[in-house]
Amino acid sequence: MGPSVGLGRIMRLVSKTGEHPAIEPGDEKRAEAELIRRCIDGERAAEEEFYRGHCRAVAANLFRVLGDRNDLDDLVQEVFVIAFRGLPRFRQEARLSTWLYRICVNVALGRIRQKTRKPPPILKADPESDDLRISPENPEMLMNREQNKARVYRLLEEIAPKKRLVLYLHEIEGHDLKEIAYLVQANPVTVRTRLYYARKEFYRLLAEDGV
Amino acid sequence: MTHIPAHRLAALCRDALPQRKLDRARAHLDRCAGCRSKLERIATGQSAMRDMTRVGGPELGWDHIAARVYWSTSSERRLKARRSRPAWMLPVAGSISAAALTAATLWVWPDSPPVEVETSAAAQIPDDAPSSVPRAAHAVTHPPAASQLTGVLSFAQGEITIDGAELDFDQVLRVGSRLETGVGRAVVQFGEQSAFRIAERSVLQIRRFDQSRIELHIDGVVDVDITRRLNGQQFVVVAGGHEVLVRGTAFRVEHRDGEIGVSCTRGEVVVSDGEDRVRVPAGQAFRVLSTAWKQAALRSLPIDSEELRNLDRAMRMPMLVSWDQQSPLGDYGSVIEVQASPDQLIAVDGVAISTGSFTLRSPGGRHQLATVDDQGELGPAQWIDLGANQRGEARIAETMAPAAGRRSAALRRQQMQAHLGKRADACLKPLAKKGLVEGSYLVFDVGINADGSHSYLNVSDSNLSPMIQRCFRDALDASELPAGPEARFRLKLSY
Repeated sequence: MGPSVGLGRIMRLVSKTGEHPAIEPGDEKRAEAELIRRCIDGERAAEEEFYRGHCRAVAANLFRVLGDRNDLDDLVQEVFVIAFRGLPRFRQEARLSTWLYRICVNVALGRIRQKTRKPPPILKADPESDDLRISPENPEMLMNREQNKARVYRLLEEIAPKKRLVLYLHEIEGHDLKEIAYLVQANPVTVRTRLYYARKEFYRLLAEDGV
Repeated sequence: MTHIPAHRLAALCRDALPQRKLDRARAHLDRCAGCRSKLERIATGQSAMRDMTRVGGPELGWDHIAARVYWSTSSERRLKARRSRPAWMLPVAGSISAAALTAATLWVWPDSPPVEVETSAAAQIPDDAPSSVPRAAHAVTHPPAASQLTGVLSFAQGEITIDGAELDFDQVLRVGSRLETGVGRAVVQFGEQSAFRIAERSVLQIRRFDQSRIELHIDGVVDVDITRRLNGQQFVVVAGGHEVLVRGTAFRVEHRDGEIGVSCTRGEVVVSDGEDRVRVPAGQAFRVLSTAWKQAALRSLPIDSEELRNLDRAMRMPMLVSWDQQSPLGDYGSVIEVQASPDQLIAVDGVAISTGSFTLRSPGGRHQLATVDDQGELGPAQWIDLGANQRGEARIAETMAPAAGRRSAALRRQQMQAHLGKRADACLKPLAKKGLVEGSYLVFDVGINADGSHSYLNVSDSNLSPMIQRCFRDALDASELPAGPEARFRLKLSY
């Protein structure tokens, strides 16, 4: 069986089960499979490689979804503990980074549910962020941008956790319905419904904010 | 006048409206200042949303997080491995006079700087040093120079003195250090996942503590657990004139009232009086009166499986997950002082540590403390936040008894199962049509907050397809539980 036929079969199977769209063939996939195998075998160097290779992306994902860095290290820890526990069951129907992203989404959702309603902190510009590097000479514009971001996060807090997450993944991160269904482990119909109501609610809040 | 709904204005900003609706919207905006203002606010919000995708994550304490991840996963893994081993393979603690083991260069967490080991002449205990610990029957050779090792206390409980003085938990242990316990115990870590524990009413002296050899002299009981050593390393425990030479990694040496006992739980050790040798492999023990060595039957015997399991459990020692020999002691982590009643078994980060009050070295960060009942279930948890190299105190309240936790878990489990009810049938319908339901199961790890919401809901095991798992998960996720006790539990659904 040649590689193209094998990949086609994988793509048909993946589409049929409604799982995440096809994975890329080639060396990258093999390297990933090898890393996973070594982690499952308990090889510490492999676990270290896995962690170092993804820790920043995980932290960034969580930071963007949640909008503040309180307890971020606890949440990053939680993501990796869940990941290492779940690796033996990971069937590689998606890229490792996507699978990790799914765990981030679940952890973030748990976190959103836990947080009590309170005024969210202003999302301060990270000194390493692109914003400062791009426009260091426009402090007023930069401040406006930061305030607008904080406003969006504040309004997102008004929305129920599951709807908020779906809205974030679609409107901000740009994922399609099928991808979101995989990430939040819901069927696409549920995701579409949630998104519809989330959009209605969020944009109404956005339009009326400050009026 | 009918105004444009906000979500349609948002679609307009994204150029996502069909032409007819777009024309109508533009016509309305020409005459409606209110909708134009809304459009502007939405456009500003969407611009901010685009900016959000460019936000990178902040810099965190990556090494600390890594250590905590490893702590969690390795504890679980070891527990699983021990439970799954057949009884005869369970590590047997053996009391053996330990042979000198040369301390090796210690493996460190990969991102740490390479270990620069201080080189100095190997220190020896002067022959006239006062000690109740018997000396080895034969002379021990010392290389001219060897890198010195240090040890730190990772656990302490009860009456302990070091070099005759009251315990200082931050004291560094070196060659010549002498630990004495009354009603107390202490664990000294000297390498990555390598430590020894001195039991109650025991005296231990560190006679050699360098790269080529570690030599401990014991009058009492010492447990040893060595995970990594290089070729040629020697570790020796000396008791009653006999040496225990370590080839394996986990063993117990008992030397009391003239009797020597050695039990081996992992690997293999060899007991020697300088002439004869007795191999004690994992799962076996050897006992002899030190004065009756020549008359004794020099062979080890298997340990009863129940006793083996108890011994293995008793031998587990709390240790720091990562170790850097040369860092200042302060970098070895923070300290938790736990105050608990003598009958409370306390778990830290899910790992049972000890009953009663104790002091524990741990990485900085957030730690969970909970009581453990005799079923192994954790009670309600409390949290302690420690900065790097910080000392914190945790008082375990009586209300944290596991019984309360079990009751909460039972209540919440019942509520969830009641909610699931008929929805389970709907999820299993595809299998029911084919007559394949019987034998199906799912196991969920569930966390419930006091307000009834889920803190987490994860499938930890199942023999059902991902689609059916999702169906169950959605059904459970949709359950709206009333406010009540917090609970963490495992929910198994079997059909």
